[in-house]
Amino acid sequence: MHDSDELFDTLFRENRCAVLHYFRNLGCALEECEDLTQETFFRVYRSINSLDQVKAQRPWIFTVAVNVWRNRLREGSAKKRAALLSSLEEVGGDRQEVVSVAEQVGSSSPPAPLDFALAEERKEQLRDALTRLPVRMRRTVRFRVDQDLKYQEIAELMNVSIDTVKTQLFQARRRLKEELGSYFERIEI
Amino acid sequence: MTEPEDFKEELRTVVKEEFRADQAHPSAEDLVAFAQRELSEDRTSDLEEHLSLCRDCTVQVLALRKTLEEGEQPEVPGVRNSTEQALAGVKRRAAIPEDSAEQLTGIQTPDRSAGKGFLSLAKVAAVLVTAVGLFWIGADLLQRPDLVVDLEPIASLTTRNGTAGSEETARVPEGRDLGLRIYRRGIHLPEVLEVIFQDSQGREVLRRPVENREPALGLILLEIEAEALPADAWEIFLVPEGKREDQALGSYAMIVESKD
Repeated sequence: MHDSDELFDTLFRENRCAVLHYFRNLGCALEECEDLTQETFFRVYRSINSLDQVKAQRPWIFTVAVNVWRNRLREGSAKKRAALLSSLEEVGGDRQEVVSVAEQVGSSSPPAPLDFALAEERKEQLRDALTRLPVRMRRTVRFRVDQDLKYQEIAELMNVSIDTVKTQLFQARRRLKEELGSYFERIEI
Repeated sequence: MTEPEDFKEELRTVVKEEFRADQAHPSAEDLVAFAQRELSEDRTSDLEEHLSLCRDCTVQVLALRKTLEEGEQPEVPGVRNSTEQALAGVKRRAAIPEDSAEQLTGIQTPDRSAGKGFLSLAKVAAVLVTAVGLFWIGADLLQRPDLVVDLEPIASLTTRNGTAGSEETARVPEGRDLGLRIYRRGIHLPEVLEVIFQDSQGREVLRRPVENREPALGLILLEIEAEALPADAWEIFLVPEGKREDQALGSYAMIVESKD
């Protein structure tokens, strides 16, 4: 058996469970976890000769796993786009009509000019108020409001304590209320 | 005054706009290093900024960190294959030539025209070799390995309904058998499988059970007389036994043209 074969066998045996767990932690069904894990190690196998022995091997395997996952996300997006186009084609018929239907998806009647101007101003104020927050406080707000993360998850990502996250959000809420109170009835973070 | 929920909605809109200006995702290496807290301070800050705008990357980092910090992982309950079976499967898959691991690849079979005269496309025997990225543990051996050996790709065909999302035309040289090899990962094929061919009008012209397969290689082998197939276009559906094409596990569209 070649050295690279032996190395691969060892890497596989030592890391297969961890890679399965990674895809499991991403929310994949068990069968998909196995497929993605196989794909990961297939790529590892093909590149085993380029592996820098000095580098840590587990991070390298996870780098491959991340790329496999990203491909899967891209494939999912492409399928969604194709499905949307396909369903629009069934509805619409010719291409021109499809485009116009696609443009209309999700749109309702256009807002009145005054409402539009007010909405734009409100958005601008929000953008400015966020910019004036300290950098890490702003990120904490984004994690909490945009991504709906738990305090614990934010703390892990930002390498701080849960109490620090809570404090940051409390202060952000206070600042944003002061600045945006006339634009939003409630500032919920 | 606006509705109470507007603040969150508005903030999400603002974040989306900011994200458009910052589309470049960090490398996989950086995500792993971030999860391991091994990046420099500056790079950590850059990545933290990106994560606060990009949910996809955030989810990956959280999953990585959870996995890497769990330490020794126990076996995942319910997996189909043991570690040794899975290891063997990776190696067998790696033994398939790389250029045949396309989503769908036309394969030129050995030239039979010499001494026999040219065969029209309608008369050639078509061989469908389906290689799926799964493997079954067990028994069957590939009964006709000669059908796989010595086949060279003549064209890459991509699936219309598969992941590649586009459609191409392959030209088939006259006097050659046509072989097709499909590599399909991510679908779970039952033991009993049929392949349906439809013509360009969407009519079912042929339905064949898959009888030969090589579980470990993930190969399914099917021989089909080309007389039974429409000459211009096929759509192939892999279906569980007795199922319709709209219950397909995977489908492929292709246009096949004779060489001028």
